[in-house]
Amino acid sequence: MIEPSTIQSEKSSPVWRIKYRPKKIAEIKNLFPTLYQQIMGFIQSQNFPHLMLIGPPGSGKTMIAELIAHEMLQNEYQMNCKILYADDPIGKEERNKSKREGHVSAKMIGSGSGSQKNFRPFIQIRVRPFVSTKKFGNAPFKILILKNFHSLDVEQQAFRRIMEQYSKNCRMILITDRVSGIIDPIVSRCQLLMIPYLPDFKFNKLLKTICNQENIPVKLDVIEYIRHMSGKNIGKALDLMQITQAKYSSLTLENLSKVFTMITDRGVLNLVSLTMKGNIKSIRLKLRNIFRSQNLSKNEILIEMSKKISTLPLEPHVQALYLDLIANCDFESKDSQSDEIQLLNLLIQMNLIGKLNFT
Amino acid sequence: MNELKNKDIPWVEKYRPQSLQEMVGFEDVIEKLRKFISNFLELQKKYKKLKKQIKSNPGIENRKSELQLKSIKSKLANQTAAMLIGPPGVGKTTIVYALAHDFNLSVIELNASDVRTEDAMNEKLRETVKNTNLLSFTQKKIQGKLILIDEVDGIHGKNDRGGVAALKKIISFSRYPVIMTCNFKDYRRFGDLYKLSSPLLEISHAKSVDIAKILKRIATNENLEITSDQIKIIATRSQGDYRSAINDLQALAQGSLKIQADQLESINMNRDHSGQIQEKLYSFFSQQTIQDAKRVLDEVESKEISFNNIHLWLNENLFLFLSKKEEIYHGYQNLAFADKILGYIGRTQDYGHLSYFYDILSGGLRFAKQPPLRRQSATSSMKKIQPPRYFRIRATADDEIALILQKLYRAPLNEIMREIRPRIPILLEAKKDVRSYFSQVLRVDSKQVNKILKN
Repeated sequence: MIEPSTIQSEKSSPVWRIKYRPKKIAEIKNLFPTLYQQIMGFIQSQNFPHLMLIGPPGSGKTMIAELIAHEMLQNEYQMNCKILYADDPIGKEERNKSKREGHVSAKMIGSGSGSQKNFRPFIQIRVRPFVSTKKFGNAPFKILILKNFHSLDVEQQAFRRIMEQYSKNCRMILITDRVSGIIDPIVSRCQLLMIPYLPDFKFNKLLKTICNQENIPVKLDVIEYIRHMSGKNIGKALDLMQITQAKYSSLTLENLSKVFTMITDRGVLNLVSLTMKGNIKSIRLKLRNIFRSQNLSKNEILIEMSKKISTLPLEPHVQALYLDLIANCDFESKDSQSDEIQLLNLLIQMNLIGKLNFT
Repeated sequence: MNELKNKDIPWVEKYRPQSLQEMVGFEDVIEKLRKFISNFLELQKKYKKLKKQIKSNPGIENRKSELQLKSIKSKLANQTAAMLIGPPGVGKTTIVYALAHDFNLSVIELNASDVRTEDAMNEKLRETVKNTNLLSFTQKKIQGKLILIDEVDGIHGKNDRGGVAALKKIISFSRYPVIMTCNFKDYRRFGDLYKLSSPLLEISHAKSVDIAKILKRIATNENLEITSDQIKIIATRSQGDYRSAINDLQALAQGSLKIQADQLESINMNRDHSGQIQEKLYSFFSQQTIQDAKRVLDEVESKEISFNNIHLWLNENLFLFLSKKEEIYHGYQNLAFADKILGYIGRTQDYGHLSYFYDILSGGLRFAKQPPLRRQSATSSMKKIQPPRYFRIRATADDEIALILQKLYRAPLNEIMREIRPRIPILLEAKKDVRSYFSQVLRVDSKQVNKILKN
């Protein structure tokens, strides 16, 4: 039986994305030279302030945060480090638990007795128990790694207090790709570390060495293509490479583009072309298929649609009309309840326009 | 009464008992209430008499009567208020009005629809509570007043600030008996009121035998041809609710004086709180006015359907009713707008906007369909209505497979569900070691890996 989070299992993993994740701080020396110096400074002094890692998705923020934690905590890593995902859904049980904990017994003395406190379930159930308990062993402190911090909207205010209260016991590494979504008081409590995309030549070199280790012959133009298609996201690039390799057992431009369209095709283009002529019942069926098989949210479908419309052979004024409708739908349905109703409303409008224009 | 024999008047109003003798059932409750009122009036009479005596000949001899006066006053203070607790439609309000009728009292009613903040209540009641009735000069019959505070539990904690405290004050000042009604016990909010009210009477659901008695009386009055079995069915289906039973009977009798069996079936479905959505949605699209459409939509609500998902039901089944392009367009415009309002309500908890939600849902959707649906009596010709289906595969916090994958990939659950999990099967086909690795990590047999990943 393999414990999924231990390093040993990751080294032997056949999934490249897991296998080639750097395991030691020295491995990133060449990739991020200035950052490496900074991190070594933290490690030598066995201390660092709350950190905030800022960078685009797939640039290696989580990997660096984990490396820092590993170097700081050494053998006590398992006990003293926790990774949390701020945008993960909160279960019903956790919600109920936080509600129970928020209830102040009527038998207590004081003005608050018998009242109900509104705890934020994320903070109360996921963060506070870890942060408020004492560190284990010889570790200097606990480390909490919090991914996608910007998606904690209101709870950021509550988090601010926790950062101060438990800063001696636990250091936070907040990871985000959108600093604008984070309130100022939290930004000012952290040391900011910028992690940009790797420069092109380093990215290419990284892919090249991985290919050499897997004994796969690749050309430079293929690597350039992968870099372009994955949007410099290392994880996605590795996934794309491995799936292509597994499916066609050679990395060529043609195979890569086939796999890329297979992976990224969400059926949205189909849906858009269906709205031009099809009847409404079939449109709804298609939409539900997308919901079911692709697990896309309303916003993502809308964005995909607007991307796809500019590639369609339509007259410019019709395109502009469609884009206007899509933007309007996205803006107006900001806090609607049912995604399906809003999207169907948009598709029916598009369907009417399509019928006027094409038949 | 003659003017009330009009056909348009709801039978619930038409046959509302005027005096206690007409009431059926709840004998013990009525008896206790009657005692309460007569006790109160007697005490008050004594009090007034003594006061007059003291005023007319002040002196030392009156010491004794003054003490008597004090004791009566304290007794009165303990017996000014009564509380009736019971489910809706059993006749709490009716009992109070009948009581007032029998004792020749005029009723001052504070309804749930009135604003009941401290100031508003004081304005309405304070003066009347202290002073005698102006009307008592004109109408010789009426002896005094009775204050009815209907649906106490409707006093809103936030909007009717100070409402309960003001009620307590009013009860202590009142020279007239106060009767309060409420639907269920809530000691946390109204515990003080319960303490103040000396007879605290609980009314349970009405017996179906009693309901049947009343229905029979109405049926003979209206010359309805209805068998006792049919009456029994209506009475039991109403679940102890006089009002809904009478409404059912009237709805049945609307077409003709003779009641058919299948008609009874369809009407009774309405009060059956589980099924009947079919019938209602069809009748929704055949209504002529917005008010009627709104009413029908209101009646659809049951355990399964509430304001939270009624638009989803409509969305699922809208194509059964709307077929033309323009109809569908208008229908969805309104549905989408109603959905936006609901989202807004959910976010801000501002339930004041819920009425707009219903207006748009009922008016907009109903009049997207032109002309209205013809009323169909035979249920067999209707297409079956589907419950709303939910298609999203959302990441949930208790999905163990996704959590294990999350530990491996260090990605948020949404990304795991959307991008990583569906791609693993492609890898599984190609290489053997991938399969054995995932079977080890996920702790399942290597043959089942595919199935488990597919969810």
